[in-house]
Amino acid sequence: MKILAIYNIKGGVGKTVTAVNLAHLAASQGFRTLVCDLDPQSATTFYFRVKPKAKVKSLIEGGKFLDRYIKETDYPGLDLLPADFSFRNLDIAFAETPKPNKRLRATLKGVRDDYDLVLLDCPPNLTKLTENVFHAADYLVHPTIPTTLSTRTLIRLVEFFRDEGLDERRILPFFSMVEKRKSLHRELMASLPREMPGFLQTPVPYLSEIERMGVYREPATAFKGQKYAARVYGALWEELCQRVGLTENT
Amino acid sequence: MNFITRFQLPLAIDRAAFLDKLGEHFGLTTEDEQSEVRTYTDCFDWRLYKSGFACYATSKKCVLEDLESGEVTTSFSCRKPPRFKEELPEEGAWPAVADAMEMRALLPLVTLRVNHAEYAVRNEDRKAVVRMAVREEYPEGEAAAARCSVYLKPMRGYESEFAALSGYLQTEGLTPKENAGHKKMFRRMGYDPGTYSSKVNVKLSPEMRTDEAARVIFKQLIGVMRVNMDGLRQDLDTEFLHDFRVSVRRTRSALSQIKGIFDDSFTRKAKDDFGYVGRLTNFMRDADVYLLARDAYLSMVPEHRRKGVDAFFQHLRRRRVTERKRMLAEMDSERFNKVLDDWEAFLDSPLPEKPAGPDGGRPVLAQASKFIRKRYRQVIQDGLAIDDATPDEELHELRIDCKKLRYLLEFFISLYPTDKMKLLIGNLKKLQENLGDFNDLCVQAETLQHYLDKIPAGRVGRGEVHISIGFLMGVLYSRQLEVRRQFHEKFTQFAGEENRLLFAELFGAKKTGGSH
Ligand SMILES: Nc1ncnc2c1ncn2[C@@H]1O[C@H](COP(=O)(O)OP(=O)(O)OP(=O)(O)O)[C@@H](O)[C@H]1O
Ligand SMILES: [Mg+2]
Repeated sequence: MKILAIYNIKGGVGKTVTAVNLAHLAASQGFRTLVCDLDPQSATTFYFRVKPKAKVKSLIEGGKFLDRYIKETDYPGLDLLPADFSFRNLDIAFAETPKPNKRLRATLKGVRDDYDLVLLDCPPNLTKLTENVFHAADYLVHPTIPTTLSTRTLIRLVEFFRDEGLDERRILPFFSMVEKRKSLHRELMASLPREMPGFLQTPVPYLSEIERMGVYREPATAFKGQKYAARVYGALWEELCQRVGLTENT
Repeated sequence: MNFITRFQLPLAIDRAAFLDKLGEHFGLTTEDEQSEVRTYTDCFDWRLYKSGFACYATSKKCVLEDLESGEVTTSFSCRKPPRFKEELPEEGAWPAVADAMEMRALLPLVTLRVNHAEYAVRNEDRKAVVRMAVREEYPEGEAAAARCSVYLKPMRGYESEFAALSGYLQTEGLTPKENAGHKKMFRRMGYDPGTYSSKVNVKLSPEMRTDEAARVIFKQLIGVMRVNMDGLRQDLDTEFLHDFRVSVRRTRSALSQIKGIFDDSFTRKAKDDFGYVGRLTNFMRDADVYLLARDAYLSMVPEHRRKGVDAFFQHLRRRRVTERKRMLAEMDSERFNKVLDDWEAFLDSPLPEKPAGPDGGRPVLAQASKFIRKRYRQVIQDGLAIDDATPDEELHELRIDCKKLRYLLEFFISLYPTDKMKLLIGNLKKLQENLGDFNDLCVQAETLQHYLDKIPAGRVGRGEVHISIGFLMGVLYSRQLEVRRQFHEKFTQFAGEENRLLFAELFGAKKTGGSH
């Protein structure tokens, strides 16, 4: 079982849409997949038309407390741990556990026989919860808008990893919400990957198709008719699989 | 998708009405709709059914299902439904199917139209909460006879919605049902699966008059002939002819062994008549035996000699076409049909008060034991006389005696304890196999010799045909010697103490019954 977190300390960069679309693609390719919505805003939960429900205990205790809240989505092979407004207290709850940074990791171990892949959709901040994510995830997928500020956040994250003795090679950034007509976007997309060799090569452009996910409450990769987003995420997913060593029948 | 709960829709409610009504209470979206025509197939003697399989073909694929549960075991794509085992893939459960089929063809049984639709039952957020499938089946062209089932599958985290829906269905008069599998389906379509067998299987009672018992046996034999005529005429596979012939042979064997039961001249005439019927099919059966074993023959000679041997098979195949025409014409003749009709008329005529033969009125048990005793003694006597110098012909005689004994045991099996009879038949079979193999090898050698100059050599060349067939004959001859070497041991086993005691116990001249 592989655990991938979709993380960026900044908000509104495309974390949730990435988690939703990649999860759908993975399941459609036969990976038994679980998405955990860790954000009390519960946007992932909303996209899958599920009502927020889970309790903090589900992630702290795991086992039957986790099992109880998992929901089957409309897509075969794809399950969801819905978020809940109570998840705003998750970081406090983690802080109170004996090994405050590694609790989530232990919880997810409990489902390693049930799933091939776990995707974590993270809230935009750096708290005890996110530190747990850093320890639990095999890789951090980092949606990065090609702007100066976004670039700085990414560099700060890398530094944080170094300071904490975490392996920075586990950070896999890709360009998100790219607008080719903006010269700044073009320039940063040319320069940044040179400084950060771990960059994924598939950018996700700004697409109205992706925006419409909120209207249809469906992954863009599941849209009937419109297929552009599906192609883009397909390419990103394929590249990601190679980077993290996910092959079918794992 | 595997749906776990099945409900039967009452015949009075049709599918559309059911869905309309359901739609008033639950959000429903159609996720998938398929309609296909399935032709279920099996061998004439239900070999798939007996092995626990059901198999159907559509215009695109061939699917194997579990007979009990009705669940799909495996499938493969094909445009034309497979007929013989050679057309099945060599993977999954198919090799097991091929083993069960042997040389028999798959024949169409039932043609069903299956309309399968999958739905998602959705809540107010349009989230799917229960999966549902509705499946309608009817014999193609008879939509009025449609049977409709509703299947439900719960979704994780939505158990209460599942409970609500299945509760609703029951209040609407739908009854939960086990998965029916296919046994019932075949019966509904008027089939009685697993019933055909070419084996003799008659129930006799010991006190029955022997002429009456004989009629029961003969009736079953002609029944098997009749039931195979259609497939034989159409040449669906080789076994229709084979089973037909076996019944003819059994009939003749019985006629020659149950002396004194019917009128003597009548019995002789019937025997001649069935001799004629059997002869008609001789060529065809011989050709079939060779053609079925073609691969085995080819593998007996080295690669470069196979063309020569194959010329023989090609010749045989061509001759089979002409001979088949001749056979079919004869089967339409007055003579042929009169033989069968007259015989049936006789078997159906009322039993005469006074038996036509001197022993016809005796109880069958005593007579059967007498026939069997006599044949057993004959077998032992002939067998003991065989040593290494005995000519082949005498082994053939013994083979025929054994066959006669075997038929008797099978005709009268119901009069004796089944387990002991089965043991005896099993022991006899081992000896018969040796004698049968020996005979086959002799006949094959003769046949090849006979054809040697008749095979059109064509491109392969006369010399090559001679060399190849000669090589093959050499192989067969060394096998023949080997089989004959084993005869002695097989016979000694059969003639041994165990069987002697069994024969004495079962068929010994008993003082009981007071029939003498
Ligand atoms: N590639 C894109 N093209 C167009 N719109 C996008 C794209 N990616 C994201 N969006 C839109 O941007 C908004 C923010 O996206 P998303 O919710 O995925 O970001 P996020 O990083 O998860 O935000 P938060 O930090 O609040 O959780 C959403 O309205 C989404 O529809
Ligand atoms: Mg988000």
